[in-house]
Amino acid sequence: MTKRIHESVALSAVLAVSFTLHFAWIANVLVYRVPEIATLFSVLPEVGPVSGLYTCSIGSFLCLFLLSLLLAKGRDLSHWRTRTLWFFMASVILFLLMTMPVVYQVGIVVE
Amino acid sequence: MLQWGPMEGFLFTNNSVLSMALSNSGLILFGALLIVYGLVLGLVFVLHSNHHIYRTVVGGFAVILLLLLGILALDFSGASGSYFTFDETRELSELLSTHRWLIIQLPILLTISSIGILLTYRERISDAHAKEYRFIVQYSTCISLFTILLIALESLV
Repeated sequence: MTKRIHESVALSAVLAVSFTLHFAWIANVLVYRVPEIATLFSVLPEVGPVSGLYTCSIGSFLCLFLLSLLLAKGRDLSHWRTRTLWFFMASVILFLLMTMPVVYQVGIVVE
Repeated sequence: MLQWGPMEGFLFTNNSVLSMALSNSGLILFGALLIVYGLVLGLVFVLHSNHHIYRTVVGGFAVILLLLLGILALDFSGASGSYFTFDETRELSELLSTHRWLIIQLPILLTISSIGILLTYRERISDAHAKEYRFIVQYSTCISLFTILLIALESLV
């Protein structure tokens, strides 16, 4: 007897990671650009805003994983596989690009 | 305090080899991480032909996750070196002058998703319909290793 595969768990994990990567780079840009957000993200004052960034990543991953799991449970997800794969690949590349200091530190001065 | 000279070896020194090794535990964890990644990288590319190998791959990913969390914990505790005083850590954090702090999130998240996929599919990861998930695991491992190498090489710039 073959065991049933709960594809929703795998798909939810991939989707949650993809969205978390987007949250992480957006939060990083906000922390870098807005001093008030940097102060808000300093969960551990000894470490600084990085502690808030990590907390935000962990929190968003857990929330998104549970949310995706609730939405995807018991559904036919076969047509979502390829779309999720492309979204995941794009998210990873975008995260790598957007966390490069030359990208997020760039500024435009309007005179 | 233990000092590392430019040509200090392990054999012709009065220092204890064990104390030399333990004085830089972060480096040991990082070395172990590269070794385990090397092993897992080979194994993820044979997932389609050997369906029993997923157990070894999950074990490898679990070790990788623990090593990554260990490295992060060492950095947070400031135990990886005397130069990591709290003030300097805060300054580094505020400036985000190095993006190593940011990209270390990538291998952690990708490893978690790979473990999730492998524990869901188990032996059936080698099936034809799991092609996309197999690719995600392979892609995640390659990107994670690339990130770890980037972290290692960034300090040379």
